[in-house]
Amino acid sequence: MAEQVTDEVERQLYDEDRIRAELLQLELEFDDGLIDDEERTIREDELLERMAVAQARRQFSETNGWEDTRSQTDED
Amino acid sequence: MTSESAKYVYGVISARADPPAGPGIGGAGLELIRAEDLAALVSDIDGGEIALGREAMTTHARVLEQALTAGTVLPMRFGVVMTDEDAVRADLLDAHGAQLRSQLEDLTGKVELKLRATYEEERLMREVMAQDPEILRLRDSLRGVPEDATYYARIQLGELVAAGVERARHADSDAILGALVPLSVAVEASEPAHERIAADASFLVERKRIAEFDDEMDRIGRVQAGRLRLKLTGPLPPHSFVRLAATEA
Repeated sequence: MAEQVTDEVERQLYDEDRIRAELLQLELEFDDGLIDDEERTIREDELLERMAVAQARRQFSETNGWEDTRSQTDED
Repeated sequence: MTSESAKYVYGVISARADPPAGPGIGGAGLELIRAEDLAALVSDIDGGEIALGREAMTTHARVLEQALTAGTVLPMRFGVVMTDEDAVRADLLDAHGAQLRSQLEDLTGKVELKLRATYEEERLMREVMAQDPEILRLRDSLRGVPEDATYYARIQLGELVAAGVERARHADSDAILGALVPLSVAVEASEPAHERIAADASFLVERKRIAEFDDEMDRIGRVQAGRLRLKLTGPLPPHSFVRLAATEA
């Protein structure tokens, strides 16, 4: 059970669409003058780190950086 | 002799090109792995690992933009690592040679421009209310009435506002894309990821038409001033227009 919860947290933490939405929200807050550059940088660093991990993980499960429709079974 | 070290792959360019000055991710030098007329733009990875974060992602983007100033680039998404030089040649350049060549040819002389149009929130709300008298009527009817007594009216108000925003977004996105599509070779519009985004789109544009595209953007910006904020990014390598189906690999 504990492991399933962790899996779900992991999945959300590294969901690219979710991270993209958070980056956009951050950008809007900055453009609206609600946060300063320093806060933006701190929060953006954290999001970009998650984005980098998310994308690297996805590449690892694919064979290249474009659309890849090859199935798992073909990989060995 | 082939190098044993793992390779970070940025993209594919013509074998006639020189590698950009760099440096690459982790400070490593950029090199080309060539196979006939194709070349993969790569750098070595120390110990097979890269520090994932802002620096690596910006370096990836910067290297590709450097390469773009010298010629056509098929950009990879961030994070592609291959085991060694042989793997890059066999699994990327040889396995997908035909598609890489045809896409390099198709994308020659073209760049990606990314546009995002964002509403000024208050102005959008004023417009939405002005266009639907029912919204004003409902809002006025809620004044001074306890919250729990107006539950359904509040829901209805929320729905009317959302529908009004949706209508504005459709109209604005159609107008903006309609003005820019004739200046582009192709367009990829994404579903807005936020309610204040009117349009989020990538355009594939011929280099020689960038100035014309910019002029049109300026014109739209003037018309929409105070209402929509426009942000144009580029010229970028054509990330949104590279496709590689690997089914036949």
